[in-house]
Amino acid sequence: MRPVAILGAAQTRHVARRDDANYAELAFEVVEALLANTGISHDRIDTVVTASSDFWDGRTISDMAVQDAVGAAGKSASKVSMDGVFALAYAAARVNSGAYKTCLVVAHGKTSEGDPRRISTAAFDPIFERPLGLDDHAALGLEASFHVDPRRGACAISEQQLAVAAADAWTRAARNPNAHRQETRTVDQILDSPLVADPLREDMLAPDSDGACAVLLADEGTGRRLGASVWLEGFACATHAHPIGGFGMGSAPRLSNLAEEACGQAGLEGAHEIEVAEVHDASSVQTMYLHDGLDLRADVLFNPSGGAMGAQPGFATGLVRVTEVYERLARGEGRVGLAHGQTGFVGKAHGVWILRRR
Amino acid sequence: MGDKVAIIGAGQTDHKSRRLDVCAPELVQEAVDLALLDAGLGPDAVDAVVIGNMEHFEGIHLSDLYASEGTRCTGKPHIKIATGGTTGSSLAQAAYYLVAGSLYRTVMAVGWERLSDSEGETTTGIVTAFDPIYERPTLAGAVSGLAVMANQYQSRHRVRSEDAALVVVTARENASRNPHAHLRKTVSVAEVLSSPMLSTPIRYLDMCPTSDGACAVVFTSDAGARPAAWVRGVSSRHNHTYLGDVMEGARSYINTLASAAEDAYRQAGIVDPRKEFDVVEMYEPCTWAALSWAESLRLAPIGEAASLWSSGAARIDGDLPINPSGGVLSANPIGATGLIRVAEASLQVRGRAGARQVDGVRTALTTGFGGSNWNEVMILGDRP
Repeated sequence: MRPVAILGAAQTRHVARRDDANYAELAFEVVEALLANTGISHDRIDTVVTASSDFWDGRTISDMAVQDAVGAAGKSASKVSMDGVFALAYAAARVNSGAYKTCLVVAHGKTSEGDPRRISTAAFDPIFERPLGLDDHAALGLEASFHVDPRRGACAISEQQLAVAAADAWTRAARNPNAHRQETRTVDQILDSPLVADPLREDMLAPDSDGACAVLLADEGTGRRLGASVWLEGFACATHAHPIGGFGMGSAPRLSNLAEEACGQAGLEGAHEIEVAEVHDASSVQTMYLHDGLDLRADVLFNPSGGAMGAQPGFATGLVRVTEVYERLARGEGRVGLAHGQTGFVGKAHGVWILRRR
Repeated sequence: MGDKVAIIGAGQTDHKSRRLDVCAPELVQEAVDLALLDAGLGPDAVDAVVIGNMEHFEGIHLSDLYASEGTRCTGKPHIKIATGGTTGSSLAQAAYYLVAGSLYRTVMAVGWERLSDSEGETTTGIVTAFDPIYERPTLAGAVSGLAVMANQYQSRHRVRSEDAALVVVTARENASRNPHAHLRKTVSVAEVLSSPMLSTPIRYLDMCPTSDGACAVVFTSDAGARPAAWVRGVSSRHNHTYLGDVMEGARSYINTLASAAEDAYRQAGIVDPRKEFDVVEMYEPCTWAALSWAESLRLAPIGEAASLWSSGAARIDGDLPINPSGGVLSANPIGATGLIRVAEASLQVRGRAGARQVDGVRTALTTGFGGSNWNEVMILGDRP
């Protein structure tokens, strides 16, 4: 892909419930923050792509409710019904098509307004899977059981390792003022937390959060003119088969292909060049297999924000990863970063971005 | 500028009121296979899929993932678009931008809906588009907003119900030539005027049906020597969050479509749309909308669109055929409907529209319509 400049990014503080704001107001809040950060006004934003879920918002055409809030009315705009990392791909294509110089991407998730477990059940096959009572947590549990299966020998993850990964995520989240989880947990506390979906305990699962995120992109010429320091240079994504048994649970090989493809576009030799990475980890098993599956170095700065284990605001979760990497690179902390997002429980669709500071 | 983008294949199901013989992935696969056959490509040649469907109608969350196997592109990139009535036209636009922006070389747009799964409650799904506190308690779904618009149009221009009826009479004549259309039986003006009143002035036969169906269209920057329809102009506009904004006047509908159309006309170098388009595939959810929107598109002077149908100009053998496919009035699988407009226009440009082919099509206009006055325009031509 031709590089696309990031002119700015913003996120709300993510919390369990935002009773003071509806989801359009969350989107408004984050776009206002972005405009304030960048000093760019709505009239200089050419096009808008939003990301939201009709089921999670309880509204068909959920973008209808946010378009005024994000300044899309009267503009050529669209909506992606997936995580914001996929909306970012559409936005990059829009500016690279030459039709627009700038594109605003806004994603929101207000999980407190619904019942996330019941909503996620509706994503499973209506005939073969739903009657089993599958929901996102149950599916994450099945995925985790694959990874802890002793028959995997040396590759098997232990419950202790899961708890250590979770404790680590809680600690990093507690240092991130925007994270939903602001407390720390010891390994013992995590192992004592209620069992939700064997082998996953409550503290090993990402929380359900309310929050929003916005990223402003520009084409190469505009980005250079405005002195953009951080650029999107590579993107790869792929979709797995739908049936939950239709692919190797949490199979990592495909992830390494995505990392390799995205790194290749950015002119990197491989993911070992990545200095900072943020991934959407819906469980501690995912924290572990995403690190390994994406072929990241052992000493990479990994999910410094706490990742999705620190806050999981629906379709904004992946875009928050992009924002976290962007902010770090923009501050001069590293030159090359990777941001990962996913849609569909147990990672049915993965998207990987490479960001670079110039 | 971006890469030049061509449509090289289009496929669609035979749209029906109920397709109980297939599930959604199978429905999608029918359209996908026909599109790939038309393009002369195997699934391996497709680099990415944009896929669309409105989850509230089937009650399936992440329906893109559910249907992904039907695209024959599992394992590849996909992006889901869901913008309501415009879903299909938004898919076409997304596929266009992904190719024009060089993210992918060949992208297949896939849209579908199984409105029979909503068991007669399609309107219930549509009602959820509106504000839960201020609007839902008083709103009856798609028909009411269109009726407000039709009322204003009728009173402003003193248009008769007979004039509107001619739109569906022409649409059904065309649909009788289209094997994919859901409603292929011709109707008379008298039948339209005696059909039940839904919401003044919209009668049952003035309104589009609810259908099961799917459509797939292949966009590429690598058309080679294949017969191609080239994308010449792309635009979209929408303008309100609350229905009260519509009450300000039919004008607001006209503004978003006119604004999108003028933007697309500028890109395609269209000066006189009435003379320059050889065929129009318009998203007309009801007969009255076709009249009003033909004027927004500058196909007729304000208040005079009825003459397009009464003069016969809009017929397949007229000088500005409108909806030779039979239009939305003859088939409406919502997530596919807007994409069917683009598919049909591409077939017209490529000379592959069968019994509904218009002679000598070089330039075609398509539109999409949905909630919040969302209007989309795509112009196709026989040259890049």
